[in-house]
Formats: sequence, C-alpha cells, structure tokens
Amino acid sequence: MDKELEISLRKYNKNIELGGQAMIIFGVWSIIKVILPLLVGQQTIAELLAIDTVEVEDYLTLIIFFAFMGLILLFHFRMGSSAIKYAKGTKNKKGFLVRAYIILIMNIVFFPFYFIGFKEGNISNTIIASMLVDITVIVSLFDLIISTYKVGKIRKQFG
Amino acid sequence: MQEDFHYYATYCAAFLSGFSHEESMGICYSAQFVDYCSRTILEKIKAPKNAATTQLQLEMMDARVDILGLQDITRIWSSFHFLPKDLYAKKEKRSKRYMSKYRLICGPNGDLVVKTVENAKDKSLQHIGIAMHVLADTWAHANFAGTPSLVINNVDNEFYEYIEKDGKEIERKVKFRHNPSAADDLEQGLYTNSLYQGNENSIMNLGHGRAGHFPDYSFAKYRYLPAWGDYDVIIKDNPHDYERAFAQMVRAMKFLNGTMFGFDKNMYDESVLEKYGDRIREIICKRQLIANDDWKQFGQELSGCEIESFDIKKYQDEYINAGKDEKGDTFIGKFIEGALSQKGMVTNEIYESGSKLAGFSKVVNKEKGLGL
Repeated sequence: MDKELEISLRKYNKNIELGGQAMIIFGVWSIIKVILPLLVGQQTIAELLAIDTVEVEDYLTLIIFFAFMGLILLFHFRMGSSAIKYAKGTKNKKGFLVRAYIILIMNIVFFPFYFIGFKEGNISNTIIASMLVDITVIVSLFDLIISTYKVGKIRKQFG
Repeated sequence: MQEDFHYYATYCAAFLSGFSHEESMGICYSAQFVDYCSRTILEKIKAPKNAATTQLQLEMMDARVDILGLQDITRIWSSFHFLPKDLYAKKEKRSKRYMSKYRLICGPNGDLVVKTVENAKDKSLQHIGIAMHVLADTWAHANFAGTPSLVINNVDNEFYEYIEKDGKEIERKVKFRHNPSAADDLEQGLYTNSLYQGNENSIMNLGHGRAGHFPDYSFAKYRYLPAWGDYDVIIKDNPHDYERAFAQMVRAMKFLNGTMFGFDKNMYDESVLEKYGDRIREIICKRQLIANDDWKQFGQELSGCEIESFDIKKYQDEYINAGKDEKGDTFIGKFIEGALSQKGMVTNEIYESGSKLAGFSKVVNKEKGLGL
C-alpha cells in the first residue's frame, strides 16, 4: 500500500476510534445529566416526567423510566464499541453508522430548542454547558461518519 | 543510553581512537558521570549547581513546570541527553509554539553535534567525555525532545518490537506497564514506561519516558507512532544506530586527539568496524538488559588493562578537599567547566534560533565582560 494511503488510513481509523470513545462518554453524560438533578434534589422524577406524584409511586413507571435510561446508555455504548472495533480492524460491519446518523439527526433537530429557551430568558451556565457538549457531539459524529466512509474507500481499494 | 555504552563502549572507542588506557578511563568516566551529575551531588560537594547535567527522579518530581521551570529542564536535557538535530526545521501549518518544541527533536548528524565535538577540541578529557555522551545519545534518543511535551514525545499503544523467532524476524506488540521498581521482562515483552499525562508540560512527557527504556537497549528494533509524526511510523533500528554511534565516536575522538583532521556530519571510522565490527555487533545485538560485562571484556582485551567499575564517589573527595583556587584543576572541576561550556553553547544556539524554551542567552566575552 502507498505510504500516504497508509498514513491516511491510520489517521481516519484513529478518528473513528476517538469518535467511538466520545459516544460512549456522551452516553454516560446523557444519563448523568438526567440523574444528577434527581440526586441533589433539584428535581423529582415526577417533575422530570411531568406526571402526578401518584403515578410515580407506581413502580412500573419507575421501572420503565430506568429501563429507558439503560437503553439510551446501551445504545450509545453499542455504537461506540462497534466503531472502536471497526477502527481496530476486528469488525468489518458498519452498522454503527445507522446509530451515528440517528444520534446526529436528533442532536441537530433538537439543537434549535436551546435558542427558544434563550429567547424566553432561560440562560444558565448548565444550559450553555449542555449546548457546548451537543456541539462537540455533532462535530464528533460528522468526523466519525466521514472518516468511516474514507476508511471504507481505502479498504475497498486495497481489498 | 546506559552505562554499558556510555562507560565501557566509550572506553573502547577512546582506546581505539588512540588514547591511552588512563586517558580513556578519564573520558569514559566523564561520559558516564553526565548521567549522575545532578544538583543533589553538586550541592553535596559544594560545587556550582548550574553545572548539573542531569536531574534525578526525585528532583524532577519537585521541579516546577511553569515557564522558568520548563526552561531549566530544557536547558539540561537538551544540552546533554537530547541534543537537537535541526533548530531551523520547517513544518507546515504549525504554530510558533509548536515549532519551538518540534525543533528540539533530537537526532544524529545535526549541526549541533559537530559544534559539540569542536567545542571539546583542545580541552580536557572530561570535556571530551561529555561530548561523547552527547554524541552517543543523539543516536539512541533520536526522535524525542529534551523538553516536556505531550505533542512531541508521546507515543500510543501502537508499539511493536521486532524479535527473532525460529530464525525469522517477527513483530510482537509491546505491553507497557507503570512499575518503575520492576525490571523489564524481555522474554514476555513487558516493559515499563511513564504514565500517560494529558497535560502538555507534564514531566512524564519529557524525553523518551513514554517509550520506556527502548531507546537505551542496543539490541532493540521497534516501530511506533510518535506524536509529532502525523501518523507516520518510525522504525528504530538500535543495532544499526549503536554501531554508527560507536564508529562516529571513534572518528570524533581521532579528531580531538589530533590523529585526524576535521570533523563533520556523517563522518565515521569505518576501519574500526572492518576490524572489530563482528565483535561489536555481537555485543550490541545480544538481547540483555545491560551489556556491561561484554563491553568491559572487549575493552580489557583491547587495552590489556583492568577497567575499574564506575564509582560515583571516586573524585568527590579530591574536589571537596581542594582549595578554592585549586578546584578548577580537579577532575570534577574540569568536568564542571566542560559541562558549563556545553550547556552554554547549546542554550545559546537554541536562543539564537528564536526559541525561548531554553531561556535567554548572552555570549559574554571574558575580556569585554557583559558589554554594558
């Protein structure tokens, strides 16, 4: 293989690996973002879910709530670990791209809601921090997707 | 490099270049002393602390990493262990801050190594020994810089060594661990390196710490991705480099003792390799943590004289007991003079290149003073 292509391949593989690690961390962050206000008493589960307190006492509601959190975490983790395996050459399937697109589209679609909040005077440090994290995730996902296509192209070229 | 090369191999090179046994002992002792002459020892013998040629691990743990601390660290390590190869190297799309570190990357056959050798001409044996330590390290420590920098000195887990198995050369992934008290396990491929620290100026990112002792093993051939390499691989062939270092040391010392005229980049004494190449290669390629015994045996065969083991305290009493005006004539006194000269030269060259990483420098004429 041409030396320049080898260098490019290493670079894009590294980008994919870093993107995968970022997604795992982002998945953990998404859970922390929800659970932390509950732990410090800033919010209750009822307020979070916008339901009556009585409904919260229904254990099924709680189970569904935490199961949903787990699913979000699993979704990000699977995506990230698949990307890392693809980058290291231990896996050839690019199924993680589907998850990457889903996360990317969701982030882009919901991003403008920050500005709606700003218009209503709802500006706080935590919201700005969340915004910056989401920007980082979007950039990271773009990088991961583009790098995956480039790696695919190079691998196809050299079998 | 380790004691096997700095002490015993330097003795062999000195003797082969034409120095007597006693002169060779003086040179090789000085070459090895560069790895021991810390502020702690200098303070102990009440010698000038700015002549330090190394820093102990404990000293580095306490070292400041603000701008002044970094300059102090860079001055020592770049002057004696990671001599920059090209202070005017170019690399596109890089900031001035990055380039000031990139230009400190060590490598053989740079302009500074020629100046190092020339600086030792007509000087003491101790100064020659210092120059040989610096020259030898340009080969071993190539591709690392004598300043704490993550973006230059870091390596990642893509680190493979070439070993021989069933008569063939194969690649084996290196397993790094962070256990400074445990010796490297050559059989299992377990090596110690410095901890990853994300801070750019952390002491852990000084020199070749992230690559462990690999640069100091003469037998080691390995490939890795240096942080500065833009994803390009470096294959470091220590057996080849150590052989070159030896031949270059002989050539340099022939210049220094007047046997040959002139010294420049890419000059080697091939005659010594023609005669002793097989023996030297056998020592260099032998897979062992340290090759003291082999080099010592070779040296003793060459000279027919006993090479005493390195003793750090050998000349300390002489220096301590000497009068104020006599200290300069002692062994350590001459070593200090050589160290200050080398450090001053390199620091000035780095400063003249536009980098402030080694601090400010001004050439002072002994007769004219500061020129104020």
